[in-house]
Amino acid sequence: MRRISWFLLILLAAATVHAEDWKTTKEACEDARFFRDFQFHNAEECAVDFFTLDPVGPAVGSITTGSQFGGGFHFVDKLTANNTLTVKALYTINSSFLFGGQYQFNFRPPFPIVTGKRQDGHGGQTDTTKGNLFITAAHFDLHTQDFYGLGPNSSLAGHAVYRQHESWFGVQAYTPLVSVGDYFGVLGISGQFKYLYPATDGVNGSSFPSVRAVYGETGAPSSTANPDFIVAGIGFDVRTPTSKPRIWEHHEAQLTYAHYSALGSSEFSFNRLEAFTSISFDLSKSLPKPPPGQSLLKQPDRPWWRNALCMENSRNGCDIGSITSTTLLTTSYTAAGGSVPFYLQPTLGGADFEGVDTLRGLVDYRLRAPNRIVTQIDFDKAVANLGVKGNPIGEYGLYAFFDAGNVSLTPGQLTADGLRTDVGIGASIAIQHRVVIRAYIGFGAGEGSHLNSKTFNTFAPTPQTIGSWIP
Amino acid sequence: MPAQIKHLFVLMMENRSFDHLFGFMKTPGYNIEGLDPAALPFNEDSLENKIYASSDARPTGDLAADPNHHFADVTEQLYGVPNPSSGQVPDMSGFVRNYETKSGSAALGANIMKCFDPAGLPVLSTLARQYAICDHWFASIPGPTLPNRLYVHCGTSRGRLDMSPDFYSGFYTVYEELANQGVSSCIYWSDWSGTLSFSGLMAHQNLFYDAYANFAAVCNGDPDNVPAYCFIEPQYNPANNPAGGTLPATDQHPDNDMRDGETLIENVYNAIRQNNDLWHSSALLIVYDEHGGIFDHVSPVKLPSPDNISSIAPPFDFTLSGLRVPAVVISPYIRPDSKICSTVFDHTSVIATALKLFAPAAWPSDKLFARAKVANTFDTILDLNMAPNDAWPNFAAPIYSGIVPQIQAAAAAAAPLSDLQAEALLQARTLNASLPDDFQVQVPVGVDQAAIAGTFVQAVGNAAVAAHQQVKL
Repeated sequence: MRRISWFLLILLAAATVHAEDWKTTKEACEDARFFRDFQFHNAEECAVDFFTLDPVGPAVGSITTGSQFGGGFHFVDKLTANNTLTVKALYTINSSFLFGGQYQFNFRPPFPIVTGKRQDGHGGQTDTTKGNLFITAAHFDLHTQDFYGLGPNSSLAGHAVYRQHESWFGVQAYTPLVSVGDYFGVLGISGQFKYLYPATDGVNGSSFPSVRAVYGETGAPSSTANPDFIVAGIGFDVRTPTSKPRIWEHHEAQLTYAHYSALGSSEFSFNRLEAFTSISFDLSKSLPKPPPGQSLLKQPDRPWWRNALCMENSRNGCDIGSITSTTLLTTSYTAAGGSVPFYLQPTLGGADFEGVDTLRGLVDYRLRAPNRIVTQIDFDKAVANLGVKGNPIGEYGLYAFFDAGNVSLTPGQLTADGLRTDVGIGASIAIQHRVVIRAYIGFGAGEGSHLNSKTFNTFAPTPQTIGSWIP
Repeated sequence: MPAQIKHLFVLMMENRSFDHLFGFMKTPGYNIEGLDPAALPFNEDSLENKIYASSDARPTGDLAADPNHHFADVTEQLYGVPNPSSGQVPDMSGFVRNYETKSGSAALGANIMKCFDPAGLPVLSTLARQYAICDHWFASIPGPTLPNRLYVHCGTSRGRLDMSPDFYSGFYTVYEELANQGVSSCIYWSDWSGTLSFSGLMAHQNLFYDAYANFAAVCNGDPDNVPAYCFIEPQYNPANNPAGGTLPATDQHPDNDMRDGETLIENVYNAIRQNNDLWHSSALLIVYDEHGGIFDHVSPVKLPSPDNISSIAPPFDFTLSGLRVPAVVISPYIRPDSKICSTVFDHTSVIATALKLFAPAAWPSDKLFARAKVANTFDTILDLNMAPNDAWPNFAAPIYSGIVPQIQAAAAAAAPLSDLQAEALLQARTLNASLPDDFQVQVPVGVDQAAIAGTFVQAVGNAAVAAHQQVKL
């Protein structure tokens, strides 16, 4: 059974793998010898290669929160040594789909970025990050999206659904710019320009009423009139440099501004300002050094309960845990009498349209309004190494969080009063301090408890915030 | 009271020959075993044109097709023919023709003779001049990366010449030998380390591994917390930076941008140099693992077989070194008369020097095989009684002949994988498949592109480190 589940996992993985050519695939499958002298590793290679024939291969995954799981294909090709074209298509089990193409290249930032110079002007560490540029054209169709009304006072009873489909063409660029001090690190700048062609409809066959029928234009702006948008934006970010000045602290701050210009329906034009901060601290302490001359390989193992309190690390110390604080603020501004289309408004509850955790004690998309704030404190603590039959496989972690946030119809109403809060606990599996699987239960937000799980694809290429598959 | 070397740092880069990086540093006043402008060496191409060594190498773009450097190819590069007769003397005549085959044209084949003007490598050439250049440091075998790197870790490749990803397991390493003598060591790795296949190290990964991203911070702290022997792995593949942008490959493997490797070298040097207490008790070796198929005019030398294990196919008895590779020893205690060091070294000299410095009671020893036991040590370049040389070098901006396209420095994130990257990927995939189910890493879309392959192999490395942690249930 274990092997069967692994094989299924491999098949799923294979669908996201790039591809071998037919000759390689044939050789791999011949090596697999399915019917005699079965070699599981070779079977895996065969499956991977078969499902990813070059240059077109299958793709699996979800499109966004609520789109459910699906499959499709991808095509990846190098146009030149520094340019890549990717084409992707997905169709999910709730009849949502996505297809599009993306072009990428990277470039050297305009100036060397040096941090940590000595007072005498010598030394320093040069940040090595390069800039990159993406051009994307895509279309998605999300069959069933949830809506509970706008503003902080909406209720679960107001659950309605809508279909959202959208085409867009966009350009995104990012480059590191300059050092802003040894503590703050590297200032980068990003820009975006894209054309959106969004539309919403009712959902056939749903047990919930449609947004258009229940809320109309008053309760769900732009639910009947769906203008096109031209979006232009600029962003700045500050992050810990690639050569970190400190081991125990990491941070990032982003500030982005975008103007959404509605074509032919200026009442739906708006400006969006978004700020994001994240800071984390790794708490650790030193352990006694072994006596001189004693083999470092023969140190007695620490008992499990000591490791549970403080897990050994590679610097003659141990890790107590890590605390991460994040804050996300989104504000939207319209002209007098204007409004933000409901499908472009930020949400709170579970994960949002971009997959970002928000108020985890609520269901996905539970609260929606033009403005939102959410602040979170997460505490991750490794408590034990994992082992199966004496075979070490990794680290267990315990996990606790506190979320506070709210939405508002105007930026001025976004105050500390009336913040919704929740707490939660869970378990995680981490690889080198990076959580890859997390399951949690969130409660305390006044709407019961919600069990959720999340897989962090730590190893996937960086999601692009602009010009990505989902704008 | 003489100073004491308490820390030895080794930064091993990828696939460049001595002449390629340093040959044109030779001047009447700087008499290294380099290239004499009045009598430049040449190879003939397939049309019998003489292709002379030249000083117009660009930081990237010249060697887009990864030059061959497996044993059979190196044999052709050394002798000019694929099957030399017994006793034939290497005349270093086959580089251009071998690269013609790989690159697909005579014009591109000539690129294998291109060398750097020192102004094109301001960091490395400045460090070489200010400290000590070793002009007779040879790769350990005339072959590719993995077996050559085995020599720096283990002193032997046990008769192997290939790039199979499975054969690192089971080797006894210098790190374990040092640990058994109570001496700390650490491998600072960026996106991948072949040593992640060493079962002996992985069983105690807490003792032997740390992320290169922590290196500067560790050096900035208490020197007593810096391990005695530190081996630094460059970034082999470009990868997306989670905070935005792309992290370039810094290993200088063709055709990765040399400037990114220069940045790495400068960062490593600065990290050590900025902490005076650490600097005054340290030596840093910058060395390349093998010549990478690129021209050098000096023939390999005879060295003892480490273990008398020979390769049957292809036949090789491991008594011939690889080609010369660039090597620079950096310390505040370089003897003024040793700034050009012509002692013969190979990668086992690293093992010998580390044991001699930190575990003298255990050196010389054959625990890491016969070649390391008799290898020359480069601590002889140092004079620990001299006043430390604390002058800061001035690294000028690089200057190149010809045109370097603006985008060419983009770390080739979307470029096809080099042989090394492909092998690292294969090694990672093999290692990944051997991990427990729950920790196998999902192979991403487009894994044959350098950036994505880099992300993947790093992820497998992380998974392997975690998966091999000692169980304390």
